[in-house]
Amino acid sequence: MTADIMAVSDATFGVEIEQSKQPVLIDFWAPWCGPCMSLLPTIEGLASVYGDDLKVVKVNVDENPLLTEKFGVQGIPNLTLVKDGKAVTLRERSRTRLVGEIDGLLG
Amino acid sequence: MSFHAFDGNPAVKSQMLEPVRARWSARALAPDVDLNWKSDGQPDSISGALAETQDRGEFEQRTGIPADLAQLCEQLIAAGVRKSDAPNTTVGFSLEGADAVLTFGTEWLDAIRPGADLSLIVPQFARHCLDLLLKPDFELAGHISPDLRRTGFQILSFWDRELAGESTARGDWRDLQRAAMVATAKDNDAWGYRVATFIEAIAWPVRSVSREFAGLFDSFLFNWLMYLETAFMTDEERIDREHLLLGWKAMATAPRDEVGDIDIDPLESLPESSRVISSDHIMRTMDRMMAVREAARGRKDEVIRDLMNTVLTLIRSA
Repeated sequence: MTADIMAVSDATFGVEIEQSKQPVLIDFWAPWCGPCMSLLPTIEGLASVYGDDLKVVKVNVDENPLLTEKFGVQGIPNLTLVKDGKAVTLRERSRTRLVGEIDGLLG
Repeated sequence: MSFHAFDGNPAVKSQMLEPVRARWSARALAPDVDLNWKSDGQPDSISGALAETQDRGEFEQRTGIPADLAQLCEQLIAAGVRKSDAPNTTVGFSLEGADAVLTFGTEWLDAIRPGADLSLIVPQFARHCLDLLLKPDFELAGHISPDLRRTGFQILSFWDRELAGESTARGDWRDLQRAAMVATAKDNDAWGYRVATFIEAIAWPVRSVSREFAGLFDSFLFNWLMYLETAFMTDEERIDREHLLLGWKAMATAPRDEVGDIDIDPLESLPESSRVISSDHIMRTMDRMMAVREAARGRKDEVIRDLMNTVLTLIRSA
C-alpha cells in the first residue's frame, strides 16, 4: 500500500506547489544520498496516510537548484511542509513521528 | 499489484536463477539491502543480479517477487556475513560467514514456486517478529516495559484482524501510535530504546509496513544481535555497553536545528557515555570486543538462521 510520489521541478513548482489547494509536503532528495533513499518508503507511506488531504512531492536537488535555494535547503534529506504559503522544515523521520508533527502543523 | 513469481514458468526461474547461483557460489555477489546492479563502486547484490536492475519496479516486473521480500532476505544474509576488501581478487571483496547463513543466498530463491503470490510474506514475517519479541523468553524481554508490551500486543491484535480480512479504524491506529510514542518517551532502559522505536515505527496496518519493514527491522536486529554479545562480557564491559547505548540514544534524540545540526552536545551531561564513545576507549578495547563478537558468533548465527527458516516456511506455504 504505497503511493507514487510526484516529482516537481523548478519549471512545475508554480502549478504543483504555489497554486496547490492542499498543503504540500516536499521531499528534497538526490539519488546518491543513502539516507534519502532509506527515507523514501516512509514518504510513500505518508502519502498513503493523508490521501487527498496532503500533496506529497519530491524534488531532486541536483536537477532543481532554484527550488533548493528558494527553500533554503542546506542538507538532505529535507522534508518541508508548505501550508498557506508558509514553509516549515520537519524534524522527525519515522512515519509515526512525522504524522504527529504534520498533524500538529495542519491543525 | 499482484505477484506471480517467475511468471509461473519454471524455465524462467531457471534462466534467471542459474547465473546468480554460479556467481553466488563463487562469492562474487555481495548481499545488500539495496538492489545493486552495475552501480558505481558497488558490487552487484544477489537480487540486483537476479533481475539485472537496481530499480524496484523493474525487479518486481521481471521476477514477480516483491522487492520488499528480496530486501529482507538480503538483509538477513548481510547481518550474518563479514565483507572485507580484497583488492587482489577479481571482485575486490571477500565474504566470510557460516555455511548455514551463506546457503540462504540462493535457498530462498530455490524455495519459490513459480507462480506463487509472495505479496504477504513480509507482512507475515513482520507479524512473526512482533510475536517473537513479545514472548516472555525473548532475550530482550526484561528490557521491554509493560506499557510498550501492551502496545505491542495491541498492534498484534490489529494485524491479526487485518490479515483475517477485517479493518481497524484510522482513529484506533492513531490512538495506538500515540500510546506507542508515550511508551517510548517513558522508556529509560538502555537496551529498550531500539525495541521501543521499532514497535513505535511499526504501529501501522501491516500491509503498509511491508515497504518500510526491512529498514526498520535492521536497527532492531542489530540491537538484538549486539545484546547476544553481553553473555560473553565482563560486568564492567556490560555496563560500558549500556553507557554506549545511552549515548547513542542521546545523540539520536537530541534537539536539532533546521539544518539537522545538534545545538548542544548531549554527551556533555553523560560523561560515562562520552568516555565509551571516545576513539581512545574504542581503540583500547577493540581487540577484546572482537574476541567477544567472535565468541557470540555461533548464537548470532542461530538467531539469523531461525529467522531465515521462518522466511523459507512462509515462502514454501505461499
